[in-house]
Amino acid sequence: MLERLLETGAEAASRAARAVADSDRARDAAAAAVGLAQRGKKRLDEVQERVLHLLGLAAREDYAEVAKRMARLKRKVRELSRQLEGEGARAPQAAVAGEAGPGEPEAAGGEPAGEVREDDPGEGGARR
Amino acid sequence: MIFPSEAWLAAVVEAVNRHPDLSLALAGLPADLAAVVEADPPAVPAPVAAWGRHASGRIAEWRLLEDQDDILELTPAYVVRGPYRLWKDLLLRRADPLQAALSGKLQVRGDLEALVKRANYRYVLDEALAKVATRFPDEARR
Repeated sequence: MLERLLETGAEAASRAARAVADSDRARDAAAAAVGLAQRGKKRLDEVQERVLHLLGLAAREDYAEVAKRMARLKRKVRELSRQLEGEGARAPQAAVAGEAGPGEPEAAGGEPAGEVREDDPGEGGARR
Repeated sequence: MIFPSEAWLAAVVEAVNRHPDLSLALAGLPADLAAVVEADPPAVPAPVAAWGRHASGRIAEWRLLEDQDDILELTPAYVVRGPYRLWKDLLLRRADPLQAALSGKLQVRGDLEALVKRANYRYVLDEALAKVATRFPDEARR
């Protein structure tokens, strides 16, 4: 019984979502409602942040900034380990060839860089 | 091509970039997006994250991220995250992206209003996806 009810509900929601996608008016109304809700939540977050700062406490934005810095550090460590691995692999070859000492550091990831953003994490992987 | 692999993503981006209506669909949208397919072992042993940026009406740059935490540093305008099974259902059109986003099954961080307004351009992605032979790791293993 409950299963049937859930199924009916899911079908109705699916029909509503299709109606939103198909009709300009329904779509605009849904977009406006979503926008209103998101702006309301943002405003609430801002007030909450101000209150927390007034109380001398860290707010979500502060944690986000710390998380961003941690992610940057994590990426830098990854790039440095890759460079070290590359130099470690080259060192015996250089000794054989009589070229002691580190060579030019390789670009992390080993793939040629395409367009790169200023704040690009600079890792290997596809760049098109 | 297996979803979610780099080869699959490259093929989808190529197909999307060929679509004549892509510039209309992207007009006015914030520049970049990251998508995360959550791990679902053994089919998807680790989360798969990708990032892309559009410019001049096409996807100008994209890559798979080595670590999903890179998203925290990139701070893209949109972050879309969902379980592998949901992505699979979306790709097979067994689930509706708008419904998934509005119900919270597909987590969308960013200006959802702008995305809902562009729901009528879903065909751009659907037509591009139809041109890519997609295989799924949970089926490929059978």
